[in-house]
Amino acid sequence: MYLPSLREEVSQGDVFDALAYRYVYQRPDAPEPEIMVRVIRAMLLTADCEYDKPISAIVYVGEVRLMSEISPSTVGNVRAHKTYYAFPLEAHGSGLEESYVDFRRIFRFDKNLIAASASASGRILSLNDTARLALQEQLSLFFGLERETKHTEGQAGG
Amino acid sequence: MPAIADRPPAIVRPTLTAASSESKSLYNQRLHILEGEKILASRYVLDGNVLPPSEGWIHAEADTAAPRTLENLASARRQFLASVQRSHVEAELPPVLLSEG
Repeated sequence: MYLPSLREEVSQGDVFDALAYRYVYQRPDAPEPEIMVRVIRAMLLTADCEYDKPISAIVYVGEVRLMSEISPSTVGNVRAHKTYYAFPLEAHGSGLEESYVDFRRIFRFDKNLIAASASASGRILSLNDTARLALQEQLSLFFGLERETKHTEGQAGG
Repeated sequence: MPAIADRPPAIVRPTLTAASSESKSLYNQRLHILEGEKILASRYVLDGNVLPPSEGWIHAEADTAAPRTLENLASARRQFLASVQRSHVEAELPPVLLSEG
Protein backbone atom coordinates (compact mmCIF):
# COMPACT_ATOMS: atom_id res chain seq x y z
CA MET A 1 0.00 0.00 0.00
CA TYR A 2 3.07 2.23 0.09
CA LEU A 3 5.24 3.56 -2.67
CA PRO A 4 8.76 2.15 -2.81
CA SER A 5 10.05 5.65 -2.18
CA LEU A 6 8.50 8.90 -1.02
CA ARG A 7 6.51 11.01 -3.44
CA GLU A 8 8.53 13.87 -4.79
CA GLU A 9 6.31 16.43 -3.08
CA VAL A 10 4.60 16.31 0.28
CA SER A 11 1.28 14.65 -0.46
CA GLN A 12 -1.97 13.50 1.01
CA GLY A 13 -1.41 10.11 2.61
CA ASP A 14 2.17 10.77 3.67
CA VAL A 15 3.07 9.50 7.11
CA PHE A 16 5.06 11.78 9.39
CA ASP A 17 6.99 10.74 12.43
CA ALA A 18 7.21 12.69 15.67
CA LEU A 19 4.87 15.62 15.15
CA ALA A 20 4.38 17.52 18.38
CA TYR A 21 1.24 19.32 19.39
CA ARG A 22 0.01 20.95 22.56
CA TYR A 23 -3.50 20.63 23.83
CA VAL A 24 -5.64 21.20 26.89
CA TYR A 25 -7.04 18.11 28.55
CA GLN A 26 -9.57 18.14 31.35
CA ARG A 27 -9.62 14.92 33.32
CA PRO A 28 -13.05 14.33 34.84
CA ASP A 29 -11.69 14.14 38.39
CA ALA A 30 -9.05 16.87 38.13
CA PRO A 31 -9.65 20.37 39.44
CA GLU A 32 -7.71 22.03 36.67
CA PRO A 33 -7.10 21.27 33.05
CA GLU A 34 -3.69 20.04 32.05
CA ILE A 35 -1.74 21.39 29.15
CA MET A 36 -0.10 18.49 27.45
CA VAL A 37 2.34 18.07 24.67
CA ARG A 38 2.15 14.89 22.69
CA VAL A 39 4.40 13.61 19.99
CA ILE A 40 2.57 11.49 17.50
CA ARG A 41 2.87 9.83 14.17
CA ALA A 42 0.32 11.22 11.78
CA MET A 43 -0.90 11.07 8.20
CA LEU A 44 -1.46 14.17 6.11
CA LEU A 45 -5.15 14.32 5.19
CA THR A 46 -5.25 17.66 3.44
CA ALA A 47 -5.62 17.25 -0.32
CA ASP A 48 -2.58 17.96 -2.47
CA CYS A 49 -4.00 20.97 -4.29
CA GLU A 50 -5.06 22.48 -0.99
CA TYR A 51 -1.64 21.86 0.52
CA ASP A 52 0.05 23.50 -2.43
CA LYS A 53 -1.94 26.71 -2.19
CA PRO A 54 0.21 29.44 -0.62
CA ILE A 55 -2.84 30.77 1.17
CA SER A 56 -3.34 27.46 2.97
CA ALA A 57 -1.52 28.04 6.23
CA ILE A 58 -3.21 25.23 8.13
CA VAL A 59 -3.30 21.57 7.17
CA TYR A 60 -4.93 18.55 8.76
CA VAL A 61 -3.38 15.32 9.93
CA GLY A 62 -4.88 12.19 11.43
CA GLU A 63 -3.12 10.48 14.30
CA VAL A 64 -1.51 7.14 13.50
CA ARG A 65 -1.97 4.70 16.34
CA LEU A 66 -0.82 1.15 16.89
CA MET A 67 -3.18 -1.61 15.85
CA SER A 68 -2.01 -3.54 18.90
CA GLU A 69 -3.94 -1.19 21.17
CA ILE A 70 -7.24 -2.33 19.69
CA SER A 71 -9.01 -5.28 21.21
CA PRO A 72 -8.57 -8.52 19.26
CA SER A 73 -12.29 -8.71 18.60
CA THR A 74 -12.18 -5.40 16.77
CA VAL A 75 -8.94 -5.67 14.84
CA GLY A 76 -10.57 -7.78 12.13
CA ASN A 77 -13.17 -5.12 11.46
CA VAL A 78 -10.53 -2.41 11.25
CA ARG A 79 -8.40 -4.44 8.87
CA ALA A 80 -11.49 -5.00 6.72
CA HIS A 81 -12.26 -1.25 6.61
CA LYS A 82 -15.50 -1.86 8.44
CA THR A 83 -14.76 0.65 11.15
CA TYR A 84 -15.47 4.13 9.85
CA TYR A 85 -12.84 6.06 11.68
CA ALA A 86 -9.94 3.67 11.49
CA PHE A 87 -8.00 3.48 8.23
CA PRO A 88 -5.71 0.46 8.53
CA LEU A 89 -2.02 0.74 7.74
CA GLU A 90 0.14 -2.25 7.01
CA ALA A 91 3.42 -2.62 8.82
CA HIS A 92 6.44 -1.38 6.93
CA GLY A 93 10.13 -2.02 7.21
CA SER A 94 10.84 1.65 7.79
CA GLY A 95 9.77 1.13 11.39
CA LEU A 96 6.02 1.39 11.17
CA GLU A 97 4.21 -1.36 13.02
CA GLU A 98 0.76 -2.33 11.88
CA SER A 99 -1.27 0.77 12.68
CA TYR A 100 -4.36 2.74 11.80
CA VAL A 101 -5.21 6.36 11.15
CA ASP A 102 -7.75 7.49 13.71
CA PHE A 103 -10.12 9.90 11.99
CA ARG A 104 -11.50 10.85 15.39
CA ARG A 105 -8.15 12.39 16.18
CA ILE A 106 -7.62 14.86 13.41
CA PHE A 107 -5.47 17.83 14.26
CA ARG A 108 -4.63 21.07 12.54
CA PHE A 109 -1.01 21.98 12.03
CA ASP A 110 0.81 24.97 10.72
CA LYS A 111 1.86 23.91 7.25
CA ASN A 112 5.35 25.21 7.93
CA LEU A 113 5.75 22.58 10.65
CA ILE A 114 4.82 19.85 8.24
CA ALA A 115 7.23 21.21 5.66
CA ALA A 116 9.96 21.44 8.28
CA SER A 117 9.34 17.87 9.37
CA ALA A 118 9.56 16.72 5.77
CA SER A 119 12.84 18.56 5.35
CA ALA A 120 14.18 16.91 8.51
CA SER A 121 13.42 13.37 7.31
CA GLY A 122 10.26 13.27 9.36
CA ARG A 123 8.25 12.14 6.35
CA ILE A 124 8.64 8.38 6.38
CA LEU A 125 6.10 6.87 3.97
CA SER A 126 3.84 7.71 1.04
CA LEU A 127 0.67 5.83 0.15
CA ASN A 128 0.45 4.44 -3.36
CA ASP A 129 -2.32 5.64 -5.67
CA THR A 130 -4.78 2.87 -4.81
CA ALA A 131 -4.35 3.38 -1.09
CA ARG A 132 -4.76 7.15 -1.50
CA LEU A 133 -8.07 6.68 -3.30
CA ALA A 134 -9.16 4.25 -0.61
CA LEU A 135 -8.20 6.81 2.02
CA GLN A 136 -10.30 9.45 0.28
CA GLU A 137 -13.24 7.08 0.03
CA GLN A 138 -13.07 6.14 3.69
CA LEU A 139 -12.76 9.79 4.69
CA SER A 140 -15.88 10.48 2.66
CA LEU A 141 -17.68 7.67 4.41
CA PHE A 142 -16.53 8.88 7.80
CA PHE A 143 -17.60 12.47 7.28
CA GLY A 144 -20.45 11.98 4.89
CA LEU A 145 -22.29 8.81 5.68
CA GLU A 146 -25.23 9.18 7.95
CA ARG A 147 -24.73 7.32 11.17
CA GLU A 148 -27.22 5.16 12.87
CA THR A 149 -28.84 7.64 15.23
CA LYS A 150 -32.05 7.99 17.11
CA HIS A 151 -32.48 11.52 15.84
CA THR A 152 -35.83 12.23 14.26
CA GLU A 153 -37.16 15.29 12.54
CA GLY A 154 -38.08 18.03 14.96
CA GLN A 155 -36.66 16.21 17.93
CA ALA A 156 -33.50 17.20 19.68
CA GLY A 157 -30.79 14.70 20.43
CA GLY A 158 -29.70 11.75 18.42
CA MET B 1 -3.27 24.62 44.68
CA PRO B 2 -0.26 26.15 42.97
CA ALA B 3 -0.69 27.71 39.62
CA ILE B 4 -0.11 25.43 36.70
CA ALA B 5 3.06 27.21 35.68
CA ASP B 6 4.52 26.78 39.20
CA ARG B 7 4.24 23.05 39.23
CA PRO B 8 7.07 21.00 37.79
CA PRO B 9 6.00 19.14 34.72
CA ALA B 10 5.95 15.40 34.79
CA ILE B 11 7.88 14.26 31.80
CA VAL B 12 7.13 10.85 30.48
CA ARG B 13 9.80 9.36 28.31
CA PRO B 14 8.46 6.54 26.26
CA THR B 15 10.47 4.07 24.28
CA LEU B 16 9.97 4.14 20.57
CA THR B 17 10.47 0.47 20.02
CA ALA B 18 9.49 0.52 16.38
CA ALA B 19 11.21 3.69 15.34
CA SER B 20 14.11 3.76 12.96
CA SER B 21 17.35 5.35 14.05
CA GLU B 22 16.49 8.39 11.96
CA SER B 23 13.09 8.83 13.53
CA LYS B 24 14.57 8.28 16.99
CA SER B 25 17.02 11.04 16.29
CA LEU B 26 14.23 13.32 15.18
CA TYR B 27 12.19 12.30 18.17
CA ASN B 28 15.03 13.19 20.51
CA GLN B 29 15.37 16.55 18.81
CA ARG B 30 11.69 17.17 19.40
CA LEU B 31 12.03 16.06 23.00
CA HIS B 32 14.87 18.49 23.50
CA ILE B 33 12.80 21.30 22.07
CA LEU B 34 9.82 20.40 24.21
CA GLU B 35 11.88 20.27 27.38
CA GLY B 36 12.85 23.84 26.69
CA GLU B 37 9.18 24.75 26.90
CA LYS B 38 8.50 23.37 30.38
CA ILE B 39 7.08 26.61 31.62
CA LEU B 40 4.30 26.37 29.11
CA ALA B 41 3.01 22.98 30.03
CA SER B 42 1.76 21.50 33.25
CA ARG B 43 2.42 18.02 32.05
CA TYR B 44 4.27 16.61 29.12
CA VAL B 45 3.02 13.47 27.58
CA LEU B 46 5.38 12.30 24.96
CA ASP B 47 3.94 9.08 23.76
CA GLY B 48 0.93 8.20 21.72
CA ASN B 49 -0.76 5.93 24.20
CA VAL B 50 -1.61 8.11 27.14
CA LEU B 51 -5.08 8.78 25.94
CA PRO B 52 -7.14 5.64 26.13
CA PRO B 53 -7.84 3.88 22.88
CA SER B 54 -10.98 4.98 21.17
CA GLU B 55 -13.99 3.28 22.63
CA GLY B 56 -17.37 2.51 21.28
CA TRP B 57 -16.16 1.20 17.98
CA ILE B 58 -18.84 1.57 15.39
CA HIS B 59 -18.63 -0.86 12.56
CA ALA B 60 -19.68 0.28 9.17
CA GLU B 61 -21.82 -2.64 8.25
CA ALA B 62 -22.82 -6.14 9.12
CA ASP B 63 -20.34 -8.92 8.61
CA THR B 64 -22.41 -10.19 5.72
CA ALA B 65 -21.85 -7.04 3.64
CA ALA B 66 -19.48 -7.05 0.70
CA PRO B 67 -15.87 -6.96 1.86
CA ARG B 68 -14.12 -3.64 1.78
CA THR B 69 -10.63 -3.75 0.47
CA LEU B 70 -8.23 -1.07 -0.66
CA GLU B 71 -9.08 -1.96 -4.24
CA ASN B 72 -12.85 -1.84 -3.68
CA LEU B 73 -12.66 1.47 -1.88
CA ALA B 74 -10.40 2.90 -4.55
CA SER B 75 -12.78 1.68 -7.25
CA ALA B 76 -15.71 3.35 -5.52
CA ARG B 77 -13.71 6.53 -5.30
CA ARG B 78 -12.80 6.41 -9.00
CA GLN B 79 -16.47 5.94 -9.91
CA PHE B 80 -17.44 8.87 -7.75
CA LEU B 81 -14.74 11.09 -9.25
CA ALA B 82 -15.79 10.09 -12.74
CA SER B 83 -19.41 10.93 -12.00
CA VAL B 84 -18.44 14.29 -10.54
CA GLN B 85 -16.29 15.03 -13.56
CA ARG B 86 -19.16 14.18 -15.91
CA SER B 87 -21.58 16.38 -14.02
CA HIS B 88 -19.08 19.22 -14.07
CA VAL B 89 -18.62 18.86 -17.79
CA GLU B 90 -22.36 18.77 -18.36
CA ALA B 91 -22.91 21.74 -16.11
CA GLU B 92 -20.26 23.78 -17.86
CA LEU B 93 -21.50 23.14 -21.37
CA PRO B 94 -23.19 26.21 -22.77
CA PRO B 95 -26.91 25.61 -23.42
CA VAL B 96 -26.45 26.18 -27.14
CA LEU B 97 -24.06 23.26 -27.35
CA LEU B 98 -26.43 21.05 -25.45
CA SER B 99 -29.28 21.94 -27.77
CA GLU B 100 -27.14 21.33 -30.80
CA GLY B 101 -26.24 17.91 -29.50
